[in-house]
Amino acid sequence: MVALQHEQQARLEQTAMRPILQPGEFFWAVVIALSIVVLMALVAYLQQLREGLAVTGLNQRVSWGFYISDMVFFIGISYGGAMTSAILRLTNAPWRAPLSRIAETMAVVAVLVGAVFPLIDMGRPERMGNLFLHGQVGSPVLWDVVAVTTYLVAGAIFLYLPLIPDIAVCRDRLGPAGGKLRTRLYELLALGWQNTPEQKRALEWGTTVVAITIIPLAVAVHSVLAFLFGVTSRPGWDSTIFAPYFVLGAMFSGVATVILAVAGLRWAYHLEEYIERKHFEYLSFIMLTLGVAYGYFMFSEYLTEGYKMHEGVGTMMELLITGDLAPFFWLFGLGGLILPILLVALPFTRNVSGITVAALAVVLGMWLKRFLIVVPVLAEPLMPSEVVIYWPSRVEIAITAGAAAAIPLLMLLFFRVFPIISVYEIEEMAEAEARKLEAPAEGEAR
Amino acid sequence: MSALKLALAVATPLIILIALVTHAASAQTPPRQVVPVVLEGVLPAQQVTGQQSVTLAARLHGPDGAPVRGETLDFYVINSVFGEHLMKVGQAPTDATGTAELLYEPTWAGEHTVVVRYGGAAYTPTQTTFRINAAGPAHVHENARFGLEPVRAVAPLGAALAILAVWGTLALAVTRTVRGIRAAAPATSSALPLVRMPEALSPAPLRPVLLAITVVMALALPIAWFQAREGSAGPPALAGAPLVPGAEQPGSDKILPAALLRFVPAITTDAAGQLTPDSADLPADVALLGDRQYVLDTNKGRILTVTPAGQLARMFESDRDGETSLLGASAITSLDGEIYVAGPRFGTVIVLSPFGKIEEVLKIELPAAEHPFRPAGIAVTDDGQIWLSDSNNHRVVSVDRKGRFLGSIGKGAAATGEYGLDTPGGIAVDALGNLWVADTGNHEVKKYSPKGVFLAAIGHRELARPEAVAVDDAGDIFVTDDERAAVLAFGRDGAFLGSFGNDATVGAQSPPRLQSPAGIEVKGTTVYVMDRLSGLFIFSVGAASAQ
Repeated sequence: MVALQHEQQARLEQTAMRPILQPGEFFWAVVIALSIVVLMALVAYLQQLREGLAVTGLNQRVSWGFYISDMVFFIGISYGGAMTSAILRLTNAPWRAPLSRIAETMAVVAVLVGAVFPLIDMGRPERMGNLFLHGQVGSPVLWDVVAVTTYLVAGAIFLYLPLIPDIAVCRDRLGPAGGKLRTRLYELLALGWQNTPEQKRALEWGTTVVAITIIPLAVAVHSVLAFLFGVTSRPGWDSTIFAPYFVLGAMFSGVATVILAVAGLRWAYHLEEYIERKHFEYLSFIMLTLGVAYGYFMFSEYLTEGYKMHEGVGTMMELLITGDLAPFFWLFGLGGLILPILLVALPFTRNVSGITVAALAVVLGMWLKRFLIVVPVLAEPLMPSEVVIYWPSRVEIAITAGAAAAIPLLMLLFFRVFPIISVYEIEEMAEAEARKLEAPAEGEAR
Repeated sequence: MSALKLALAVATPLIILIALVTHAASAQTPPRQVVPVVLEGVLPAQQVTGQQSVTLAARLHGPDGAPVRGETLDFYVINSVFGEHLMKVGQAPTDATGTAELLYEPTWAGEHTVVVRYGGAAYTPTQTTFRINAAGPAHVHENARFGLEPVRAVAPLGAALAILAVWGTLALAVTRTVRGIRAAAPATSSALPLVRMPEALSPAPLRPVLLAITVVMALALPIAWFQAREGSAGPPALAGAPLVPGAEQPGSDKILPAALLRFVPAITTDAAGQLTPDSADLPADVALLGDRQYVLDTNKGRILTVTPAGQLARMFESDRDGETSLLGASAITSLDGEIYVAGPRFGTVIVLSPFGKIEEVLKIELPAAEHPFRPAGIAVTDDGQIWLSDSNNHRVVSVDRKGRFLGSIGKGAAATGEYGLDTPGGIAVDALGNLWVADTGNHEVKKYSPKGVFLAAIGHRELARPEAVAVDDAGDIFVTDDERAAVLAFGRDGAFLGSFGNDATVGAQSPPRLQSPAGIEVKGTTVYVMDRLSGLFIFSVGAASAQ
């Protein structure tokens, strides 16, 4: 039984290997451009390392600004990537095959970037060891580090296991074009994979166990992150729905980021044959559902807080709704929530371009929302005093831009070594499809 | 009517009688005895970090060392919440060894300055001071109040077990999968055809774009680097001399010979240990005008002057709430027959005549800052430029004689580096118009040109908590150090000359000695040091300039 014709098979392999064998000048142009942004961020960080957090806009009152917003955002989008892939894998959704590699890579890269931000925010990174030496087991900060580290390892395993058959393809099929170093790496990581049924069973079992593990783990990671805020007594953070609110927000922004990554790579590497309009539509439906749910959570949060208007909440609400931060709040509400929902809901904008624009609006809007969760609450004084407005410095903007550039950069570099779409899974799905088609035919023959 | 007359007739003699008896009684109060005693603070056996409470102790004994028993000692801690003030933490009687002990539960973490006073019921009033470090009281978790403490103790264990279970599952998944794949690998594999790529799909060559991007990067990075480096290098050495000779020769304990010419007590207490009405309360600074010395009585909003008899007399008492209020003022200076005080409450500089008449109130134009203005130092140049250190906002601002803003040094938040300041204290202007800033939080003194250009930083190795700075005509620099309870002197080249005013120089058995030195002025070879807890010290340091 041969599910894919020889020509289809060759085309699939060519497409998956193109970033490895034939990245093109455009690849290098993008890599250089992104590297510049990342290097600028490194320069900015060196400046911060030398001069301290005084070079940021952070102050005694607003001690969490861009960096903590970035951490919550980047870890959140990672979570969305992992969840999308894990849930689709467990529900055996056949259309996931060309997307899962991109989603899983994005998940690992984003959590790598997000996990750096607590170190950046500390100002004195060498003191990180104190967290373990003198950590408080009752503090969410300690558990946050533990959870994110565990999630990073689980994400890396979740990326690696389904990659093994494709690494074997690279080992066997690239030849000298792959280069000595890469070939050695492929031999090491392929674990002697030869596509035998026993190997497939072992891989299937391992992948399923990790997929099952990573879903509650990702929920736990973002819940602990939410507890950093929720267990404080600060008006605006002191909320019982913060953990599910964060989890939902993470999935919402994560799915949007997957759409953006898929759209970008599809365009750059001509993946249209494998990533079709229907993939965008399916992902956009997930994004739409999460967006509506997120809007509902937000409405519920602000309504209950604003109705009671406990002391301290007032200033924060005023800052957001009509005050200095109102433009950002309404930009998120209208541009980051309602606009994407409309773009996906309306049939005439529900196409690849419309969905990509909607995803971009969600990603930008959700970053803004993280900022609006972190900063106004700190700006609100707990003792009689004036409201302090935080504004990021150039250093913080450069580091945030560098982190945002690091994600596509690392993804592009990763796909220089490993296939961009899962050859093995597409073949498996095609085989399963063929089996389904053959089964009724055999029944009729009997 | 007649009843009123009767009441008056009875009450009047009664009132007169009571007044006479009271007067007679007060007249009969015996004068306080002038029997000298020595009060010594007893440091806790170990610093109290991590403890919930600490025993504060002091020992009262006669000059011969014999313990004084049954006298009451008052214990205070300097509290800086809403302005510095002495917070009474309690009193305790001395026992047979002359020691009084008091259990104190610190309410904040960090260094505490403890002041112990003997009001002088039977002997001469005296006081002593010492410092302790405290971690503050351990926080009692809310759960403990509701019997949920066991849950709190178990919860982290549950979380740890869950994490371990996840790691275990991941390890099992990886090892079993890897083993399964390896075990099922066939011994031989057939050669497979290689992937052949079609012609390159890239559009038009992008080499010019790549070249342009590379050039931009090559230009942008050094520029960015340069920008990043600007104003961030560490303090350079003074020209022609190593920055701190003490670094090579361990000399931060070097003593500079200095003679105490006079001590003017500013803090006086009654028999109950309370400040007398005439006593100053944490006086922070001193100014010199002609032969007179002016003491800024910070917590009472007054200016006192030293009489020829060596006592303090009231010269100016400010309105407590008005625009000219000096309540909380901690910076005073003088120039050309005028006294300048930085008013802390309304951002003003109040100019007074030598006799305490307000001549001018300058409203200072200050750029926006995060915290309320808190002037900790003031200096005026010969051309009328006024420098003010704003410790709350970690900057030094410059205004003209009309109060118009000229410029500032500092980043608005605690920072290091040439132009970074951390809680600047007292400032001074030398004969060339250069500005000297006691950069308290950075443990050094910085020098800037009249235009505010960084010139040098000194004392980083010797200074612990510089409070104020003064420069003599020869260019030698004198710095008060609150933590070392001493004055540190530096040569014009930045070389550390030595310290004076602490126990080692004045002598433990010959009080008074510096306890919490703040403001400082120098005239010729005479150094005037305002000690917030005792009074004005006048030293002669002829040896300093001679070196």
